[in-house]
Amino acid sequence: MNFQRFTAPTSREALAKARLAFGDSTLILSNRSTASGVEVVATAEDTLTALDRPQASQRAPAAPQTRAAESRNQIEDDATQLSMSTLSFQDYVRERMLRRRHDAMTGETQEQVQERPPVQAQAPRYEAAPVARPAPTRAPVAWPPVAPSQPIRTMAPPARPAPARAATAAPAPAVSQGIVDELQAMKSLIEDRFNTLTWLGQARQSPIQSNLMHKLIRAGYSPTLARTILERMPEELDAATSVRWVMSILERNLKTDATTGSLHEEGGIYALVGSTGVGKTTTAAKLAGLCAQNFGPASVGLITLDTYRVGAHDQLRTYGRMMGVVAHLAHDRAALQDLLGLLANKKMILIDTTGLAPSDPRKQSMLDVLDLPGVNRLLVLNAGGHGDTLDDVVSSFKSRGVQQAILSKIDEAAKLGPVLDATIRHQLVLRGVTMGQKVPEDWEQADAAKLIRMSMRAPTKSAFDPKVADLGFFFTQSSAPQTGRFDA
Amino acid sequence: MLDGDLNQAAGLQGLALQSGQRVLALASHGNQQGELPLLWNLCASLVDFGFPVVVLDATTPESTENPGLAQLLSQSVWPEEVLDESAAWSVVPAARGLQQLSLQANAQTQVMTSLSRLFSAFGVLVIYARAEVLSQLLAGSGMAPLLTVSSVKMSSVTAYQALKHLLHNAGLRPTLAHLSSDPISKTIATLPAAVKNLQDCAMTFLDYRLDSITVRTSAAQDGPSDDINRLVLRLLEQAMPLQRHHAGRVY
Repeated sequence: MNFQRFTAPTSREALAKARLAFGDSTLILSNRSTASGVEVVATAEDTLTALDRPQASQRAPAAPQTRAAESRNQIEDDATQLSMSTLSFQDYVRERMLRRRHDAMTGETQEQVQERPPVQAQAPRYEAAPVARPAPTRAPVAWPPVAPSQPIRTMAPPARPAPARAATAAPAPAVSQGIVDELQAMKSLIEDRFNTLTWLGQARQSPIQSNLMHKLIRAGYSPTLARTILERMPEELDAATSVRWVMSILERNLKTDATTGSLHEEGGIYALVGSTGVGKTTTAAKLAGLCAQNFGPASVGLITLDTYRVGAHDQLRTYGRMMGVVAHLAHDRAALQDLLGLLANKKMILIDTTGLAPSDPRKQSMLDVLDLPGVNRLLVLNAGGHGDTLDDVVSSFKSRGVQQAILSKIDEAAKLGPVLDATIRHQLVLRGVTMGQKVPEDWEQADAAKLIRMSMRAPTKSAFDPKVADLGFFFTQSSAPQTGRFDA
Repeated sequence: MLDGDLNQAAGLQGLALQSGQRVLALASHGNQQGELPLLWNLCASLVDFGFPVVVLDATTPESTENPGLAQLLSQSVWPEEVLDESAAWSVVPAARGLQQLSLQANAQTQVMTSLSRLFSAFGVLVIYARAEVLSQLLAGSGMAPLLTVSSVKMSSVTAYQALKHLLHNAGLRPTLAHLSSDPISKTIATLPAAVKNLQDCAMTFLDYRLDSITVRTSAAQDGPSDDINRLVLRLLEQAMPLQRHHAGRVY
């Protein structure tokens, strides 16, 4: 092959040079101007014809060859298909069983099996399919990273140092402003303390008030709520009426679904969320059982998002099987959406979720999965939980709109005060209570009067009870800003 | 407390809500390369879920050497000769038997009643038959038979025929599933040409949106894959329930 590059100040000269080299049959391949003039690449015509010939001669016979191969393939395909069509499912099962047994006996690795040539001509073609399977070592590469936790972790720390910096920076430019702020804070502290002292003095003087306060705190209600109620209590009430008054106030503030109808009769899509071990799956089974009892098994859809807890799906599936309901498993938002579409004609769909601690970084991603139109969240609260724990759970699972909750394990709770207190302060709507393990009997619609009565029942003596004389200690600390609203 | 048969869900069991057997269907259209592995996976998954499974294979005719549904119906063999109790699931040739049943019975419920009586020990009946047979058996039942395609030539054409038959003659809305042996690719960006063709044809000519479910299987995994489990749960949801004739076992 003979290509040459010619450079000259003008194109005419360059062409002349090329013609000098290749003669009359000069073929100009390219012509471009460069810094030093014009560059021409040229060759002789014979070179190209020589180039063409071998390719053409190769291509001509190749076509029939490939066509022949194709038709042979086709025949082979048809032959396999024909032989396949005589293979029944029985034979297929038998063959696969035999192969599995054989593999187990010889202990061959899968790779070796695949490398072995097919034993019979009848060996079906789909045997080749597993070859495409990549080496097992590659599998971990595709393992989804625990991504959701990262954004939360990386986002959280910068938020914390910010106020600290602001606090240290503030006094430098305006010292007087800092002093004013300090004084203001001290003033409000003193006012608050004096208020408390005055109020405590009054409360001590009125035995009815101090007794009621003692009773409320012993029942597990928070001092904040107790004081808010007692401050509003009319003074002229006698002992018996004042207790009734306090209970009626608590009742009025404990929101339930008494007027709207119970959960399983109303129907809808409900996702049960909450901490670990509060009884979400059992509660889901109870609700499903009640709905199936009233409207038939075909009216209930069960989905679990819990791929984390070992045997979670099996547990729900076992319950499902007892009532003739299929328990589905969804791994992600798309799968959940798909399933909700599939179960669209059900009266009630219950979504069981993984139990998550309020501080768990996976919590947000789980709540995001549930953020679909029509999906209501039902917060399951352990009635026996400590007040602060419950507060933490409620505020961490807070969502837009109406907050609905179920109190579980009422029968195990020594005091119902803390959970009712949290429910009242966070304005949750109670949709039901569970008071035992029996599915589905141990479910009851929330009854505010009954719950308050249960909470105020005199508990047995406990080391955690305050003495009347200790009441002062509850209020000596400056009261924190009250969370939630309360109307007495 | 320690009573053997008393458990947390005794009340639930007492309600006797358990629906009876369920019928699943897989439409055959001569594409056994795709259908048999899918059927195998379905059965394995059902057994894994704890359902005793019987497959009525209407693509295989019964014979005296290989007795099946026809012999069971004529009561010329003992059920033990046909149903393999030791195996995880039973496969019963049923080409003649099903034909005979659909000819004899004038109502679909009658066919199903006799099937459920014959196979009362099984929780799930899988009918593997051609579209024509399925249309006769299941017309108007509202269930969704499974349809599959593979890379075999003419597969989408025969599948389209089956789809049209089921849709027009019996009002059954099939679910399309295809096996993919690539367990790594999580995204199902590229559907096989056969599936795409079938979907396009169904949309263009039948005005039917055929959703496709990709089932990734892995030879390395011992049990059924997650995809197949999900497909099975979906099929069970759409399955046709049979009336139970006696208080039997709880599946």
